Amino acid sequence: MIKKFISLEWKQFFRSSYWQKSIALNIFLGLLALYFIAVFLMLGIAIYPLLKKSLPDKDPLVVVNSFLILYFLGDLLIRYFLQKLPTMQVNPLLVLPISKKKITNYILLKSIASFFNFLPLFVYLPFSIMLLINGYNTFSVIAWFISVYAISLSNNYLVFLINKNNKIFAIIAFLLISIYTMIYFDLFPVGIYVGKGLDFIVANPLFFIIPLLILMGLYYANYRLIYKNLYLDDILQKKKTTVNAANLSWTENFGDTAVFLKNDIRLIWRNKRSKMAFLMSFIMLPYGLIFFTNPTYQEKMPIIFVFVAIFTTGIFILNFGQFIPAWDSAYYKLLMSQNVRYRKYLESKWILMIAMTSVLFLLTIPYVYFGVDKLLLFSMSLIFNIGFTSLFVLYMGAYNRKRIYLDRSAFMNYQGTGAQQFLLAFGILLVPMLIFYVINKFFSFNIAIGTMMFIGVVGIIFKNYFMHKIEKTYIKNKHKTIHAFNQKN
Amino acid sequence: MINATNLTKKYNNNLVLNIPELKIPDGQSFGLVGNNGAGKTTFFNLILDLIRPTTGQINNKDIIVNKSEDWKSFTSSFIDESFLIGYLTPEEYFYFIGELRGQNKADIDTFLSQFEEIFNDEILGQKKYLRDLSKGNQKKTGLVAALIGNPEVIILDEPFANLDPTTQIKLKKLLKELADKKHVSLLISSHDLGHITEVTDRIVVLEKGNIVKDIVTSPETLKELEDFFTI
Repeated sequence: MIKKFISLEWKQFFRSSYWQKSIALNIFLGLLALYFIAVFLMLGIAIYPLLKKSLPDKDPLVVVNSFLILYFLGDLLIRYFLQKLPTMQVNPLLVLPISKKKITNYILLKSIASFFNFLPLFVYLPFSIMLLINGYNTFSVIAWFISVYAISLSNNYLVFLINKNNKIFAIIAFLLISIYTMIYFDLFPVGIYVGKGLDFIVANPLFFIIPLLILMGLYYANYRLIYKNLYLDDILQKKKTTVNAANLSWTENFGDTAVFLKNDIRLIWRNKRSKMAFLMSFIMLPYGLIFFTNPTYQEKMPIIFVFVAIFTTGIFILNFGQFIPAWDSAYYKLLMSQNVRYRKYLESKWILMIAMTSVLFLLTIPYVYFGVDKLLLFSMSLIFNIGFTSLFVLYMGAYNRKRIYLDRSAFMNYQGTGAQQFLLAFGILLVPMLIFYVINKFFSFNIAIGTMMFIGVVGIIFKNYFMHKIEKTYIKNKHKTIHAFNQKN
Repeated sequence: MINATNLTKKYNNNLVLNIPELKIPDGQSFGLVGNNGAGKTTFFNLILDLIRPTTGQINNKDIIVNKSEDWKSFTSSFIDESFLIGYLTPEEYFYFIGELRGQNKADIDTFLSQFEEIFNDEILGQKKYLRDLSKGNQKKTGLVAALIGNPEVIILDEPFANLDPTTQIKLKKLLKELADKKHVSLLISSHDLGHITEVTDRIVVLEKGNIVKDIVTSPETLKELEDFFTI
């Protein structure tokens, strides 16, 4: 039976659209995974000698143990955001003669085969080997290894409980916040106690049974939850969302475009993926602090400031704009058969982009603290992004051929991203940097700023002309776009 | 009048539609029947300029559909669920379509009040997004939205599929009323031979992209169609 399940998984995996992602994207994700593996591996190997050197009078294992709580908490947090629930297509299996026990166990065991469960091994294993090399008791090391890995796997199952049950989520969130407060204000040294617990296991190897029992307990809790809810209308059902209807009548000020503007605002707010693109724009605001506070950049690489300015004010154009018109891919046929002027549709997207760019600009004004030249840079970016980047992104959208699934998870979701998006992002960020760099080098800072602003102003003045050209391109590509958006994997 | 001339559609040299000549006069209610893959949806998509013909053209009231977009103001359609916007509530969807067709909120509210029976308290005021409605209720929403703004050409692909029996009967009544209006051309396709013979004045049977029958509906039509599809 398990063999059959695995063959189903295999097919699901290899026949999914996952492999139809562009090669560039797969390489990028692969490199990201390799990077993390390498970092963890180096950490695992280097941590023992490093601690030995910096804290010669302490036992490295004890030091590691006292810090592990932070790692576990971080791990839990990252899993909460990134790890997907272990679901398989169970709907067709429920009516077949397969016991629910088997299905449940399979779902739970399958969840172990996750990148997040392999990653800790790249630290634990080399560190354990280092311990053995340095003459620790073999049984102690094995007990330690089993304990910490059991805790990592416990995190795996804890996250599913948190995800499925709001009460548990509230309890865990409360616990985590209290633990964090205690650590932060030194009220109660939780870290030390967790560390002491692990030290105790090292001293008495047989007690590795305790973390194992915790793991088994969590597994059982998950088992009960899934087993009980293995019905079509329970756990497998997608969550139904309640409507949040906001009054959007203020959009009427935008005349003909209002109807689309209203829709676009709802699109952004009511779908995970677009909401994330929107919220991410604000998260990147403090990005400049990294560079502005470091005098090295000021002296040696002022060009990086251009990047920061264009990026922080233009990130919404990048995140949202590059998927125009794919945001509407699910119902593109409707729009194309309605009494719609393409121009109004595009105008609405443009207004959204420039509105967000302006908001982001206003929020960057405090950077003036680091010098008036910073304000000048952000103003330049505002004008450049409005006059050039937004229109350019809109134009490129006419060649967008990838459907987007609005309701799929948003975090680290690269579905619908092609090589085109990467090129676009690089182009939008690198080209202005290059222009700025060259002019700054051969003329002056102010002339460089002036040139960039000039490009932006030209774009704004001739906006209608460019919009007309863009509209024509969209109309020319209409059928290809409809056809592409119809392709569901 | 909708007029197709020399119309063909090929996918990789595979001829899926071949209509040398087809005229649908103004005000006619026109039924399209055929097995899966006969080319019904392809024909509708061509009328709506959602796909390009390989050869030939379609005129909708003398407007060549892939040359000008002016036909959009008097043509409306519901082909499938991809015509719905999942993250809107049914009300918001109706208002959206209404605005595109030059109707204000009050117009739409009046318009919707006549469909209370069909909606059966499951569509309006539910505080649910369209993506969370059942298939049948999604379909009702799409069908009603296609009637907004007094369109003169209405294209509905399989309007009866997925609907409960009560709604099927109500929809039949509704479509018959529409068919009786002199200025409204109604184009529907269906797998239900009974329903379509009741609603339409004329039935065209497609088989592998070719027109094999073109009949004016009469009491004998149902029998004729059943005989044709019985192998």
